Parts: sequence; structure tokens; C-alpha cells
Amino acid sequence: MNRKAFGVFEKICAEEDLKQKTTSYLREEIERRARRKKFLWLRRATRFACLIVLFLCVVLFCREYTTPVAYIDFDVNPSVEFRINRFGKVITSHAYNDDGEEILAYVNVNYLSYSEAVKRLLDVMGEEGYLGRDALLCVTVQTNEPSRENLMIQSLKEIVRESKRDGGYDILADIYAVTEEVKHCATEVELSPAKYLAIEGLIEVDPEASFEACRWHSVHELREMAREKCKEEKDHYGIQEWSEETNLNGNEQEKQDNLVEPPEQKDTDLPNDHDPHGHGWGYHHGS
Amino acid sequence: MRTEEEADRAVNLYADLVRRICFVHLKKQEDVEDAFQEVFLKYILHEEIFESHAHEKAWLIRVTINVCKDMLRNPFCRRVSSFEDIDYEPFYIQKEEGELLGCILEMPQKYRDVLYLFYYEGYSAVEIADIMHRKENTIYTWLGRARKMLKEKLGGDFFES
Repeated sequence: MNRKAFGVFEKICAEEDLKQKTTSYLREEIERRARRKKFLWLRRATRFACLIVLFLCVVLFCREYTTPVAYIDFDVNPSVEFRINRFGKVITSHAYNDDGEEILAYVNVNYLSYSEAVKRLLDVMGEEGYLGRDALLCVTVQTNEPSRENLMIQSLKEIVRESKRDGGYDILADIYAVTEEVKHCATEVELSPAKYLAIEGLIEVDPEASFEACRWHSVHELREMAREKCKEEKDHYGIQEWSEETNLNGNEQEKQDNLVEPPEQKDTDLPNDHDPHGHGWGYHHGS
Repeated sequence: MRTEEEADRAVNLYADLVRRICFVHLKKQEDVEDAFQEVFLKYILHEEIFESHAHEKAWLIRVTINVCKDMLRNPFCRRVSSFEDIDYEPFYIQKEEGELLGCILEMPQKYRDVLYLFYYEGYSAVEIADIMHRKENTIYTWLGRARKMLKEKLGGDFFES
């Protein structure tokens, strides 16, 4: 093969113009990169700062997301607690008793909005037969934000009303807010606030009752026991009897809805020091 | 990163080499310019110290071939498929020479490279294998096929003269 023939490539040369352009380009690049190198530490510091800020944002968001700002407690007799974050999501659910655990085993409410979680919980409770005739559903809300409290109470009332209508449940429902102190005391004895208040009310009229002995009774039963005890004492002292029904029947709207407001404390039928927290049965009305 | 002096030296020394490899791959003048600048940019960013001029030259050949291949993967870059496609080469190339260039440019890319490196740059098949990261036998095969194709197109006389 003739190598000389390939000498034709000799005629293909880089043009002067191309060389000039390339050398200028390379000089510019070298200068530009040298300039960039000068501020490299600044760019790296900025990037690092951005990463730190991003990391802090993620950490703060996670902390906010997993910090409960409100608690919703249900007591039929399955006693269940939902912890709600500031975004209105259920972050954890907790059962106070075996029935509650059984219910929570059927329904996973974590990371659902609290309204959806309550709907599902009530559906399961209904299916499991806990919302039978004359059952008493106590729902308590505890939060330190008054606006959130009002909103949640209204929302819960609406949800319970809908569930009762859709499921055809003939139950009484107490939906109210409790103070942080009540919630704290109830948590200490591992009870829902509603049951804690019911037992506390019973202890007021029957000093022999205790949290330990009464924890397995439903709120409904505890109120009945307190009422019976009051009745016995009134019979003994000849005082006119107070009844929850007569009090409740005075409010026609509430009767229709079966949404029972907590009974007003009466001087005649309960001792004055019945409520240690000064809220009337230890709670204040949320609506 | 290399200095301006090193960059100038490399451009003066290897400009023609890079330009010729670009010629056998690329069609448009703008593509050639881009590839040319890209090769020398890679050179100034390459901080490894070369053992010798031969090492430096082999590195530049390999980088130029790779840059041209990368450019050809770009859908906006037109391939060279015949000598007539080239709109920028010096037209003082004589007809006979143009015929040879035309035949080379019609060949598959890998044959162009081995022909150029073997016949013009004078590399051995072993060195070409090292530059192109191929087996020595592959280079021999490619050379054989390329020669055969040239003979078929140009006739035996051209090469035996």
C-alpha cells in the first residue's frame, strides 16, 4: 500500500483563524475558571448553608408533623385516643382498654384527617355492635387553641350526627372539650377524660369508689351509679331528685339530635365542690 | 488546570493533528470548530503529567476521536458520508487526492481512523490498538478490510505506484 498517497492529509491543516479563536477561547476559560476558583469557598459555603437550611426545614416539618396539638378521646366502652397534629392528621391512636385495642386492630387511622378517622372508627364501632340502643358515646377534645377547639367540636358533632343518621344508631352522644389539666390527670391514671370525669363524679358522691375499681365500667354505667348514689342520699335527706333525663328533655333540639350536652351542675342535686376544676363536671363546653 | 503557555504550546503543536481527525469525522465547519475547541479545553483541564510527547499525542488522538464520536451522537450534527458533503476543505486538493479522500470518507468511521493513524501518522497496529482501546487483532482486521475496500474503489494501480 502506498503511504505517499496519504500525504494528501498534509494539505489539511488547522486554519490560523481557528487556532486564534481556540487560543483566545482557552485563555478566557482559564481566566474564568481561575476567577471561579477564587469564589469557590463562597459558593461552597452558600451551598452548605442552603443544605443546612433545607435540613432544618425538613427536621422542623417532621417535628411539627409528629407533634400532637390536639387529642380526641372516644369512650363507648371501647376507649380510644387519637393524637392530632397541627395539620389535622391523626399521628397516633391509642387504646385505653382491650375493647379499644380490638377496634383499632380493625381500623388503621394513622395519617388520616381526623374527620375521616372518626368516621371510620364510628363505622367499625357500629359494625362491632358497640353503638347499640341507648349506648352513650363520649367524645372529648383537648387542645390549647380555642379556635381549633371550636372547629373540632363542631366538626365532630357533624360527623357523629351523620354517622348516626347513616348507620341508624340510636345512641346518646356527649361531645365536649376538656382542659389540659383534666386530660393530664386522665392520662396519668390511663383513662379517657370522659371516664376520668365520670369516676371523679362518682367518687364525689361515693368515697368508697376508686379509679382502679371503676375503670372497667362504661361512662354510662358510672353515671348511672353516681345517679343511684345521689338518689339514695336524697331519699335519705328528703331532697328532690335530679334526673339527667328531665334536664335533657328541657332541650328539644338536643333531644332530636340525640346530642346531649353535659348536664349542668345543680346546687340541689350535687355537692358544690363536685367539680374540682371549676368547669362543671370538669369540662367546658366547646360550642 | 494547565497554564495559558501550555495551552498555546499544545495548540501550536497539535492543531493540525486534531484538525485532520476532525476532518475524517465531521462535516460542518461549526462542528469542527466546536470539536477542536472542546479537545483543547479537555487538554487544559486534564491535570495528569504526560510521560512524553508521544504519550501526549496519543492522548490527544484518543480524546479527539471520542469528542468527534460524541458530536456525531448529537442529532443536530451531520455526518460526513462523501467528499462532496464537505463544504469547507481546501480546494487546492487535486482530483486524484480528492478521490482518495472521498473513498476514505465513505468508509465506516472505525476504518477511517485506522487508515489515518496507520498510513499518515505512522502508528503500528499495536499502538493503534492501545490508542483506540481495542485488541490488536481487531485493528489488523479493520486495516485489512479498509485496504480491500480502497483497492476495490480505486484499483490496485493507485496504491502500487
